[in-house]
Amino acid sequence: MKFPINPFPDVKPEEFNKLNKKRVTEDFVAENFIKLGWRVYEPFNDTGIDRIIMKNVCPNGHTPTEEDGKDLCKTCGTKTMRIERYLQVKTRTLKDNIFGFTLKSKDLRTDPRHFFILYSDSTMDFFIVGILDFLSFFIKNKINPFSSTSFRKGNNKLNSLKRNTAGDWFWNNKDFNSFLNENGLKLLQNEQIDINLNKKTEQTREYLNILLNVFTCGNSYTKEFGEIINKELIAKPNKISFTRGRMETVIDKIKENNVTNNKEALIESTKKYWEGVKQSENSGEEEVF
Amino acid sequence: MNISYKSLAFAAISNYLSVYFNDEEDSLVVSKLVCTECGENWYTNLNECFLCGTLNPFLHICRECGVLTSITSSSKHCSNCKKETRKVLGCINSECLSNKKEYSGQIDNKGGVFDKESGFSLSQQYCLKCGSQLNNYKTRKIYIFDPEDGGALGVEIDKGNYVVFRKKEKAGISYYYALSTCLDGTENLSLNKMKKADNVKDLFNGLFDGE
Repeated sequence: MKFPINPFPDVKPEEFNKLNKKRVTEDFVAENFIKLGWRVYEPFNDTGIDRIIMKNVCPNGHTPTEEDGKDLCKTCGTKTMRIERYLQVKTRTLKDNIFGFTLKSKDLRTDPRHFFILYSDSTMDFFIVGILDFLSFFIKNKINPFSSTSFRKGNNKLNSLKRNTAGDWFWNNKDFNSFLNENGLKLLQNEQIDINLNKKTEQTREYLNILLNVFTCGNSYTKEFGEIINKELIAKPNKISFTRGRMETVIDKIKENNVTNNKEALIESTKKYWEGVKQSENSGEEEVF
Repeated sequence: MNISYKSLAFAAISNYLSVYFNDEEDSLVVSKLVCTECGENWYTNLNECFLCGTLNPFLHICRECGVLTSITSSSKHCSNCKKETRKVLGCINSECLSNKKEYSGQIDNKGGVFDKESGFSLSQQYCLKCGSQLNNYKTRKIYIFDPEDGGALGVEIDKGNYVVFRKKEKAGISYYYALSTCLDGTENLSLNKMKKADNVKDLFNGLFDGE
């Protein structure tokens, strides 16, 4: 099996530039998954997820990556199960053999069915990386791309994924080929993610907390300040305490402010912004506030 | 996408759902990210303080007198102390490290915790309702029918998905829905075997009830 293939023989992927490549590259990804028996759903509005894909697979792992499992497994006769994957597609053209892309904190969810498709269009390579495997890779290799100020600012470009002249891929000199093309497909179709969804969700959060609760000061803050922040993060790993809902807690804080007069108007303003944020989540507007 | 699906798609979006479709299937996929523990919606565009987890109040805080003002106000002067001072997009939790005098300066110089330049906020990490840190996607695939078309499904519905009938009644549109495994697509369907929702909000709530 050759994967991926170019489903659009009249045009080469790299003929599009970064301003007009979104549609063609997402369809390129979609057509490749359709050929492997996945049912592919595209967003009605632009949301954080570029495609949802579904497939029936044998719970005992017998379904080949290039087929849909239909109702019953051809190998063991077991009733198949539907698996769902939530894909974020990032397409880049290599520059100096580097695949550079940006990750924001809103891209990190605890659902292990969330996968990143890193598509290098100039080499026609797919990296298919589940969130749990991605975080596990960072922890295992003592890499933390999420501790920097620029990550929390949303503009942290990751330039660590590199291809050597032999065509092998590395992240900070650590082998990254296990996520490449056919290897990644097997990880994508791993039914154990769905069978052990709760356990793997908890594991994803555990890894996220390890990586997110670290502060690197960079050029923005002093080293001493960084040490104080890290002490605070260690002292209070569970940041919030609950007596009421979180939005109600903020409202209470506004009410408690003794020097502010027009509190009701401010509370309405805050609620209006929250409502705007909630609506922006699915309306296709990117971080309007 | 036909207009029946498009209409329901917009209704889904206004009910905080993401909508997906496949041109070759007569169906709609609706999805949301929710708290694993309590099912409350999860909003990745909502930010919270990196240090204490308090939600962004979208307010300015005056560092001179502590007064809160709307972020829509363009005035550089504090409305309370009248001083031209630095209003910051700060954390509203007075116990937060970012509000301690000895530490606040460096963050305030970047505009405060919720100013993008400071790098001191994160996308939502805790459930708004119960405080859990776990989130999962919940997704439903739905097929829409009009009983006036004869009541038979007419297409093969794969198992584990939902069938929705939209019925115009005197009081407005009602919705009848059921999991496809409960229905026999070859027979005429009886609406009284299905659950009823009096409006589209109740329909989506019903579809996402339980597992």
